Amino acid sequence: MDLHARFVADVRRAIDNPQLRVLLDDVTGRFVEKRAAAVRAVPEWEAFRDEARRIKEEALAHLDRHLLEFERQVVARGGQVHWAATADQARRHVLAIARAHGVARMVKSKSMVSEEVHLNEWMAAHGIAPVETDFGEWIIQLAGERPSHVIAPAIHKSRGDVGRLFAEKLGIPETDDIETLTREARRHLRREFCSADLGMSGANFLVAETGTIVVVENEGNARLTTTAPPVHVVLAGIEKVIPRAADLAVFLALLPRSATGQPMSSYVSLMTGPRRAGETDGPDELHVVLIDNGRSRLLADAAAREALSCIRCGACQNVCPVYRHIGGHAYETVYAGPIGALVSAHLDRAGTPPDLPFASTLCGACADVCPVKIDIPTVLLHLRDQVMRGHLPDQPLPARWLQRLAIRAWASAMASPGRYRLASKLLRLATRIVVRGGRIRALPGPFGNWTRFRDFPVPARKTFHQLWKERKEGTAGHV
Amino acid sequence: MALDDQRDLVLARVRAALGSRAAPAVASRSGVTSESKPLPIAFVAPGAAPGGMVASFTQAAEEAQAMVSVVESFDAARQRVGEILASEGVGRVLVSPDAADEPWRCGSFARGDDAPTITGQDQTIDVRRVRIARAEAAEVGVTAATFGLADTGTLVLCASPEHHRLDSLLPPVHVALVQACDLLPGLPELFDRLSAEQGFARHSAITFVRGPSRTADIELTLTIGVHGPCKLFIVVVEEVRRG
Repeated sequence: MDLHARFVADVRRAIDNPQLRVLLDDVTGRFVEKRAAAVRAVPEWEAFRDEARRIKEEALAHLDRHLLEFERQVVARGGQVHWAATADQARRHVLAIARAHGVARMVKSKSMVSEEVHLNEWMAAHGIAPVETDFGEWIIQLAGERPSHVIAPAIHKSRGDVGRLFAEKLGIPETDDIETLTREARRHLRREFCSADLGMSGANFLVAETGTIVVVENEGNARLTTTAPPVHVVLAGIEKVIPRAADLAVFLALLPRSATGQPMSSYVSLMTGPRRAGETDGPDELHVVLIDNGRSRLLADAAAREALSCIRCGACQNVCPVYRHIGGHAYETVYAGPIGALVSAHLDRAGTPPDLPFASTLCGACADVCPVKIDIPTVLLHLRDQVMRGHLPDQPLPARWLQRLAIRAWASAMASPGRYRLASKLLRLATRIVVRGGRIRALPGPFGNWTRFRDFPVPARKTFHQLWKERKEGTAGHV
Repeated sequence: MALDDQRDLVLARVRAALGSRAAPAVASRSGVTSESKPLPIAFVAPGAAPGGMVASFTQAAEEAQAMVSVVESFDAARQRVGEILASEGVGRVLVSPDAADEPWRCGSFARGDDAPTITGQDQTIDVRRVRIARAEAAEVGVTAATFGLADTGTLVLCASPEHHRLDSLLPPVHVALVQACDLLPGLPELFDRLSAEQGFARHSAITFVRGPSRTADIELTLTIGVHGPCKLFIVVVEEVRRG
């Protein structure tokens, strides 16, 4: 099944799943409310967004310089930096580090880029299975599923689902009490933290000026992952670099509020090098693996480059009418929702349906909430253009000839008032044919896509022009 | 080594990607210019609130489910710590050197652990294993905090030979001690201080702590106490004395 067909099938399956749709609506709705409340409390919110965008533009405009400075600083503090152009190279670096330290047990805190490079399966195949420690990620690891939301990866699972999963996989009595399930996670994962040979984390930000790695979280699993084991490995995309430590004042004001509606998350770890002489706690070694994996391709596309500014807050997902109906799994890509549509084709060309830039109403809600002011709709139009011109994955798009014909006809009709009125009359006559019981329930052929999931109302008997004319002539009656 | 080759490759790709277009990159559709605007300071002006910085900090920290006590003197702080430990009814208390030393002098609260004090210099034992076992066995960890942020009620902990990271992380209860004079309005002031004091060069880890640990991963239902501490007590001292 090709990517396009699979995407369509996934979307249909999601739309036909009422339980999923209710859950998505509820969860995304609550995220939206929390974010809105947090933003209302900040009168200077727009100034912060502007500044964040400016900083990211600066960071990307001189990315090579900032990356080199970051490396220099990390090394000066006793850390090591490894560079990976591809996903495969990134995995090999991690494995090499693990092997060099005789690693048997490994814990991991949340890292989207590790999903992107399929790290877990690779490491498991080489005998070192990383244990996810973020509660949501651990749940889906136990379930053998992929994350469905960037901030709350297991949000598609009800408490009953999790209770059944824990009973099956951990042998505990089945319960749907969330406190009990959370305590079980604490108890079980504590053993892993305290015995792991290596801890891997992602990074929300990499500070060039000081060589600092920044991890934002609420659970404490990232703190434990990066403090207890003797080796700490950081996996980060090259776009995570920001120029100065002071820039964090802007991003840390925006990220927790955008992601979860908190003024500050429970924990932020700013880590600079392995533990110092005299410190008793912390890793003996720090390794940073910098990953390209298509980011330089995105960087080269000047009209799409701003997508690299993303700070992974998830706000765009929560407001997107498409995401809110189909959920993260339907995208089949690591990054879902509006930002997923922007970056996936460059980061995972082979695995991305060409439909993603088209799976949008261009309503712009995402652009309104993006903390770094990525103009997502404009970039989506640019990507659509690229798909149509064949620059991006060249999957055949069905009924392209019909679409061209329809657009030409529409352009022709709009070009003159006479043709417009004629077309309008013909259309009203044509739609009369398909009316059933006062609504248009099914259109023929490829137009059927418009009525597959909802009915169209019947057009009015008279057009606005007619009504206006009649009113002016004094002959207005009932419609 | 073959793995190192990719550094030049990645840099070359980045330079090629940037070099093919003139910098500054994209004409900003948001209308933002490339000059830096002065950063708005704190969201709240803590000095303006009644009671000033301490009141703002207390309110913000309590909103994050921290339990805050404000006391006048270091003696009162020590007494308050004793009360907290008594109310928690615990047998094993770990006190980080920064809470045991001046000005806090809470070392006498350490109990339930007869092993000798660990220093980072110890070569004779597996420091890591002992430290983890000790912090994991403790029921309460008592540490100092270097700074507090008044606008969000956040503590700032700086790793050092005197401040042990695991003491505020593994035990289910964390008691944090902070001086009122070390409360700052917000992040911009904190980064100014860290910059002036070489903070990132001196500390391998600077950790912000706001309230106890939490998750909402199941059905977006907030649950307090996941992997980090389940309870956070903060004692703020108004007496000014540098340790």
